[in-house]
Amino acid sequence: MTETRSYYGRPVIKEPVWQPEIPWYFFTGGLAGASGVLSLVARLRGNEPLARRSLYIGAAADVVSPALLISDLGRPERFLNMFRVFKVTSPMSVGSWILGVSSGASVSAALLEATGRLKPVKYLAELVSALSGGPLSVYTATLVSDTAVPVWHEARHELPFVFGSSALASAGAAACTLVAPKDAGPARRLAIGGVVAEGIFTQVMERRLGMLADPYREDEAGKYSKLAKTCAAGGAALLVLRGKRSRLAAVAGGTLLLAGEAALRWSVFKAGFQSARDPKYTVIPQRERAPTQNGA
Amino acid sequence: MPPDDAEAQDAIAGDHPFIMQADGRSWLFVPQGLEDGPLPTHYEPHESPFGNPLYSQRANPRRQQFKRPENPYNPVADEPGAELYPYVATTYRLTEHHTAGGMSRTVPYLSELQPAMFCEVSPELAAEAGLEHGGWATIYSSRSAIEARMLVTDRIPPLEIQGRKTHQIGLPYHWGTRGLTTGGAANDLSSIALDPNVHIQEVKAFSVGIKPGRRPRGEALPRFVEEIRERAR
Amino acid sequence: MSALDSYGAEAQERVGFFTDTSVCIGCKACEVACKEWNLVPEDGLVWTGESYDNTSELGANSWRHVAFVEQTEPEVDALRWLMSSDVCKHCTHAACLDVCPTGALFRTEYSTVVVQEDVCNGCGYCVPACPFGVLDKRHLPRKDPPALPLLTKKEDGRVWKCTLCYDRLKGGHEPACAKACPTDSIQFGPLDELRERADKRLEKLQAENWNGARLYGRDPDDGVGGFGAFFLLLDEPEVYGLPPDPVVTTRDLPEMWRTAAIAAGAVVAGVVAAFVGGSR
Repeated sequence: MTETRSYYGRPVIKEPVWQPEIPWYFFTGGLAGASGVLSLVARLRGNEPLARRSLYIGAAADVVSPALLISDLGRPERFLNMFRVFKVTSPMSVGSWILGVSSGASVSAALLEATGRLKPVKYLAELVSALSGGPLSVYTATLVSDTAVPVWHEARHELPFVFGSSALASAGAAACTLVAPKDAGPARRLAIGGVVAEGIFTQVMERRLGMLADPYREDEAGKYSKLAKTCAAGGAALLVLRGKRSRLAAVAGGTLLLAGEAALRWSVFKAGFQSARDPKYTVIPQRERAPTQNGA
Repeated sequence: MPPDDAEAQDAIAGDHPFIMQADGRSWLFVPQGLEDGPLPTHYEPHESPFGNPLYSQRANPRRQQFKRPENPYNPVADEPGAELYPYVATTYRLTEHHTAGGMSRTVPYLSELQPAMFCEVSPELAAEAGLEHGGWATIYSSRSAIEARMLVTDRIPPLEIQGRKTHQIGLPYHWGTRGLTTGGAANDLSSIALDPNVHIQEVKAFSVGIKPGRRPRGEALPRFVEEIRERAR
Repeated sequence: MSALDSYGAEAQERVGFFTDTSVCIGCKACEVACKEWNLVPEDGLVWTGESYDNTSELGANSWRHVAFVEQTEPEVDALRWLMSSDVCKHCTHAACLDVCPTGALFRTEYSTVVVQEDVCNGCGYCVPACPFGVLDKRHLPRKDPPALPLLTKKEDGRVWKCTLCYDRLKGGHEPACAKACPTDSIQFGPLDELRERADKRLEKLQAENWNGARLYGRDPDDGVGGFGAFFLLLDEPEVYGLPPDPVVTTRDLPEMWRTAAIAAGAVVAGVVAAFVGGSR
């Protein structure tokens, strides 16, 4: 590896200041978004139990999500400032609006579903929730990619797909835990398919990153990544083998898979910090495109 | 530039550096006013590991000495025990602090820029004395011992003097016991031996020893200093 | 329409800093003057052992940072002590400003980049977005009691950085650091003029064989569109803790939004595909 010069080994960029709320939000946001889509498609295909449970799961995640984000703010009482402007150059601004719309829609839809009132409004809310669900489950990838953090920015082509497939797996797995196996066929397929897709996209991402993939494999990020893979594979295997017959296996498999998806978000989160901390991940890729003036 | 017919202080140009002299200029021959002179010469510092290579008079004969129990002098040059204080210490200012720090160690914006007493040595001396960069060291003379954080740097190289490799130790003198940042006072180490003309003690060159680790506390401190002094006798 | 056009008649000539590190003496007067003028708090009495630098980096509580680099050049065996006063670059294309979701970060009529502290809600997005690690959140106890105890963290929580002394500019004064600099290492002025001055200075140093002299951030075609505060360095930028080829990541944002749109579509397609085998 190239010898990197640095200022006393100090980082060039700042580590993010985001707290543990944020990786949990990546998880709940993904779960909420994909659940909203799952609920509407299930409704359209006539699978009422799956539609209803997914709606509730999505609404619950949509209640937790803003709470996590507000709690992370340095000035939580100024959360409303997020809605002062709409800035397309700021994925966080765009995301706040997506979350605001999605959250409002899915929580309204869930309340109307539970109380059985205002059917047309409920359908409209469900539609809005489903339409915003896709963006909600992937925009967080764009958000982190639009930073100077090397392992996030350089993964900008793959990260939305990793997050998207993780969201699908989460929504499928969550539904598997709450829906009777006889009605949960699509959820099982979604969970398993999501895990497979996520595995493929993660592989592609790590290969394309080259040396920048190291932080994803090392230290805390590496541990979370291993945990994510083990849990996701275990959970998916349980769903494949016993998920159709045993309610217990479905619950266990779904829970394990959800744990895996949360661990995946933590792995990506931690890898970002690790790559920001070490100046070589900032300097070496920049040096490759801008050779030294000294010709070193 | 003052005009040609300027008189007295008006005739001194602003860029004449010797502001203590009536004409602002340096004098090689000083016919009156000095306790020593009239011509400049070389003397070794009052405390120096070396003799004077010019002649047998080692240090300035007119320097003011105070031979009192609280002001013991280190053995020098060839005297027995001089080897116990083998290094040359020099004290200096940092840009961030003012003299002994009484007015700057109480100011947060200055204290944070130089927040601890430290001591500068070369990598060679660090290796020789077992000192670790960033760690603590105890610096001692026959008067006292202080502790400081170690800054190992190429900026303080050893000097080759009279065929002997001689190590220097750099000591900022801004610390003391009170203020936002406290630490060892370098002036505790130096002796009271005064320049005969301006009566300033010799703090820019004196001999010390150094060892790794923090200094003894309380009554152990004078005992530690005295033990070395006894060995030197 | 550029941000400057929106100021109409109030728009001013673009100003900035040229920090010529070849004459920096490491006195840190810029750091102290900045803190005095802007009431930036002291942030820790930590001795680093990194030459004479105990500030270490720019952050919420250090808007100027003087780096001290000790170098021994093997070929000449002489010691070189590089000093350089770092500051916010006030980029032409500023990532911090682009990603700020509240509009707290804005471009002033002088084309500088400033945080409005009454708008910042401490989301922290600008912190990792800056390719230079300039911004940081201030973690200090807050004086006034919080209005909403459950939601409020006991710290300042906002992001702070160099304002290029916006208030002083408004009053027709140069920024505090430039005013305090005793060697004119920090020069303030209209950016075009500074660039000309820097070119001449570089030419002179190169003619005098100052090995390694180079301008950093002067070029308007670089990854951030040129710095509003640029430098003359005597070695590679990374030696001073600066990125060798910084880019504003929002440059890639259109492409990133397209990728996100495709991924969002794929999420919907994935759900639909899960129903291909039947709705149960």
